[in-house]
Amino acid sequence: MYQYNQDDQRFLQQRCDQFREQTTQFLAGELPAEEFQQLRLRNGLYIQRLAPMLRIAIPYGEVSAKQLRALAAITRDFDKGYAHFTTRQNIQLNWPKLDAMPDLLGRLAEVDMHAIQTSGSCIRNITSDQFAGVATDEIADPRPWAELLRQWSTLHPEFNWLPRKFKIAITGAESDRAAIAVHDIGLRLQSDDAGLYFEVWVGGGLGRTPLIGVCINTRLEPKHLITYLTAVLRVYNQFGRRDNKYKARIKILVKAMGQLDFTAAVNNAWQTLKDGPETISEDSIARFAEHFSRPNYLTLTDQTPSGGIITTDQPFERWYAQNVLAHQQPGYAAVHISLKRTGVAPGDVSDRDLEALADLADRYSFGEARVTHEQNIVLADVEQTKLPELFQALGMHNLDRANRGLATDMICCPGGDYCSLANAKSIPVAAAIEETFHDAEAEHHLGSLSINISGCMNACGHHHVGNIGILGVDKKGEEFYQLSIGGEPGEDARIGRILGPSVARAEIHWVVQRLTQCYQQHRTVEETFNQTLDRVGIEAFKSAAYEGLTS
Amino acid sequence: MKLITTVNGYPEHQEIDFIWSGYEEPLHLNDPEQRSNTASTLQIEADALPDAFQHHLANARLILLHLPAFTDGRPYSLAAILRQHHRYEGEIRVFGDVRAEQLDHLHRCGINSFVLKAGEDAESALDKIGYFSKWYQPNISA
Ligand code: HEM
Ligand code: SF4
Repeated sequence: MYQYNQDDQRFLQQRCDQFREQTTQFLAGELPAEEFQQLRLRNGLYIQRLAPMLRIAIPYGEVSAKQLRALAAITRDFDKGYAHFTTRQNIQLNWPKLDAMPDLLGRLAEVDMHAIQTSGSCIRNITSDQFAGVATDEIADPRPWAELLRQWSTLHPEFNWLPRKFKIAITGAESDRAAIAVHDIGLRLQSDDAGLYFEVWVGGGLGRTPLIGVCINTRLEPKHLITYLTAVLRVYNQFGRRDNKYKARIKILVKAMGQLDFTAAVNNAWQTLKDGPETISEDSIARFAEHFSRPNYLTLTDQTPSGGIITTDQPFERWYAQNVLAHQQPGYAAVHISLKRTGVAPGDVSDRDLEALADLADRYSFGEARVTHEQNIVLADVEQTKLPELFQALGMHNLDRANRGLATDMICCPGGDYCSLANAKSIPVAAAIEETFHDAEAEHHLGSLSINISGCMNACGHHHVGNIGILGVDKKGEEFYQLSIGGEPGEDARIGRILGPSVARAEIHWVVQRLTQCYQQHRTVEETFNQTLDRVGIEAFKSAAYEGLTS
Repeated sequence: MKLITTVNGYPEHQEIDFIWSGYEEPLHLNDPEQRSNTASTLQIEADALPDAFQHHLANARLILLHLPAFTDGRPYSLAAILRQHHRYEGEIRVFGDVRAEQLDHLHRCGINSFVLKAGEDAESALDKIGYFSKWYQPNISA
């Protein structure tokens, strides 16, 4: 992973010093509240329902064992001993204190971590594929480019005061695991006879107005990445709406201008910048790539439970089938660790969990782990023969659930339990659904299914792109939930369709169950939820869902 | 680099020749007869369209750039466009909601003269420029 040099560390230290001064000034009444608010947001600090909330960046999801241990200690020393992994490969603390924040940021800086630009109207954490560098369908490793973009976007002088937040995702594989089509900018590394290039997608997003992005450049030479993105941001910064924050995202601008005019404006702005000083030299990208060179793999051959791996029991085989993924390097596997556990909010980890993950990363995966946008963890480089041992160790920490991509692998925002913007709670809904699909046998039989839950239309839980999406709404002061079905992230991204009237909290898990029963009843072999839906139509699901409802 | 403090945060009376806001045509404040052959002072609002004022830049000696709110990013891009696209080399003086904390980024976008908002501390403001010993982007020079 990327190793900070002295300059990077000094920069981070100066950023901490700067924030310490700003906080001191604010607490002394010398910095106006409305100004300090903007400054703290750009250091990851929100003020929430019950306490401040700190969002710490995990750039493109890569985190070291050392950093996990530091995070564990920080949750103990500054918070209540737990934290929450988000859909944007960040980690959030729910109870830090404002006056302790400078010290907390200092502790993060000691392990080359920060919360810079994790909120505010600026370029946010760059997200990517959790299997970057190991995926078998990879065209090129996106991480060097992701780090390049992280640096470029960090305290960018021109783009720190955009009309609204700005999210960039990048993928380098056939299969899009970074959901690039629902980002302000989505980048897709591709290659042809002439070499590597980027597809540039712009104007996707969820929230109030969910939209799938449009491709404004089908073949951008990689050396132009920074100058081209500067042009996109420049057009947005100038012409994005500032009069209405609900219409301020770039997706609204792209839609208002139209794809052609927007693209023309970008190209016009780009002419000034193209081939200028920010053109990326071969040397410079090679220096970034060095940080992501392959670890010291042993020369091994591929093994499976039926040949080579000593299998101990059936649970292992199920876990292997569900949570272990193929790897570029023979004899290695990528392991998905589920953070969707009974009795724990989706994506939540305790300090002990973080330390256990750190130890396992050290022991089995070259001291590194990845955070996924589905709020799980990946150990990317595990020797296949060590899988049974790893499985056992995970079991001791309640981290061995074999539910990757299944019904209980829900994406869920913090909702009304923490978030001041919420219409409704989302964690108890996830818990009720978890209980409904608790039986592993039945859940496996049901197969792949994404259930995504957001507590309001801001869509932090990606409900629009869940096969089943659940959205908290406020109905005369009571918590209700609107359902949509047929959403899909990834390369065939699409927004789900609203099913019908919203339902009460007490009934939501039944409705979800009925939807899955309807799917099971109608599906042909190998058909996904969305394929069945497309074939039989929404009406069948509608009548199944609302049958016998009281409200 | 110039730092100007005023009572109300607005530049003292200038011989402003044109003001550009989002409209194609500028507002003329002086005799239009003279505008093409004398050095002029332009005022550019945040919503100005860069192509609209480009023909007047050759004679410009001072550009007053309005920052309507410290959270408004448009003047940053306008300054960058003036420097990088129009190759304007004269003074760009930002005024409006200019706060000490903003100076560094404004400066890095090619702005070389600042009218501080009333009440901002001028001394500490200049210290903000160059606070960081490293940046991840090249600066746009004046
Ligand atoms: C608890 C404090 C949070 C607040 C105040 C908050 C606020 C918001 C707001 C206002 C939006 C809508 C933005 C727009 O449409 O322009 C949004 C979108 C989003 N947030 Fe959050 N959020 C919070 C937590 C989270 C968490 C915990 C996650 C991850 C689980 C998250 C991930 C996202 C994502 C992925 C989007 C969606 C899509 C998009 O930007 O187009 N946020 N958030
Ligand atoms: S979706 Fe709404 S309730 Fe959930 S975290 Fe986002 S803003 Fe809060």
